[in-house]
Amino acid sequence: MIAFFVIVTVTVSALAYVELTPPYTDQFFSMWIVGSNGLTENYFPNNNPNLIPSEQVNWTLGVYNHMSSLEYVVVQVKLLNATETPPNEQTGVPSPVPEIFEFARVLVSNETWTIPFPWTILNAVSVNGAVLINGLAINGTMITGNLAQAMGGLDFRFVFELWFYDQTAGNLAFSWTTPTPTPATYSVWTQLWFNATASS
Amino acid sequence: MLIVLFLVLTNVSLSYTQTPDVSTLSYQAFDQLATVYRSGGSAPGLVSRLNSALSLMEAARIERAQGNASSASALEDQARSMIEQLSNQIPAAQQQAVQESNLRVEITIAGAVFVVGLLTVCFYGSLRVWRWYEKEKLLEMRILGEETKN
Repeated sequence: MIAFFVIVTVTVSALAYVELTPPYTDQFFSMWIVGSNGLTENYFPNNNPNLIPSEQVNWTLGVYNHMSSLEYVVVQVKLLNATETPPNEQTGVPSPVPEIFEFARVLVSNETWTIPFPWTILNAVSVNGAVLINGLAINGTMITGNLAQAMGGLDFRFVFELWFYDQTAGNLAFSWTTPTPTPATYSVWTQLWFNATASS
Repeated sequence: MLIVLFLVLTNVSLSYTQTPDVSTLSYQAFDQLATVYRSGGSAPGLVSRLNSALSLMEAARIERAQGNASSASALEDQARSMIEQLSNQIPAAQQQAVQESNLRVEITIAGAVFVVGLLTVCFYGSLRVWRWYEKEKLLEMRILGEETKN
């Protein structure tokens, strides 16, 4: 009788513990870009990445929070050429190029955030054989200045970095370290390449 | 000397009147909201309002980049007021989350005790019934045995 009582108590206590303790899951963010049809294709008008000013490109960004907690996330948009330093996921260091645009949102656990990203080159000029993009429209917002320059207008890229609010540091962070199973640094970013022609 | 004193006093009074910028306020509100979710609670309405404030901040940034400083300030003030309002509601949400979490623990523990008690009583009851049945069967056999002898 006592043995039965002990076995039942242990079993039910274990079940109650499992019920009250959330299961451990892998914690990660993910981010992706899809084209105008919502798939990983048709990123450029007529599938031609050689863009001319005023040609509209329609992308959609997606961010998924699988960190098992409420997260304050910021997507920083940067415009780089092929030689500028991109983010480094091995060291968790973001690109040193300043962002030209950003989106911020608080995501609950398991939430997916979809961000429409229509953009157009408003102005690009030729400078000593290079193409300098000095006018962009993102989501209808005009951005001006010397944004990026590439030889022959080849290999520009939009880099999207996922930042999140680190509650311990009290600031935005680009990378995080997991203690288990082996300590590793993670960061999330993605990029898409294109070529630009100077305005005539 | 007087100038130095004036500058020091001005600096002191400025530091007292300075309010945190909207981004810092949004981080603080997020910090508080995160504790609600960590306690096992949820506050989707407050999260949605914080997101609305973040959208206003984004709009303010765009306005500022386009040189519309007054419009940007108006949007930032709107965002600030929204964040301050929702921050005032977070302590109640935190308290509710803690209460809900405690209630969940209490229900689970009470359920576990009930199940253990019920199973023990059932086991004890079945044991008693089994013993009674065995005894009855034994008596029945004896009676049958007497009848057979006769």
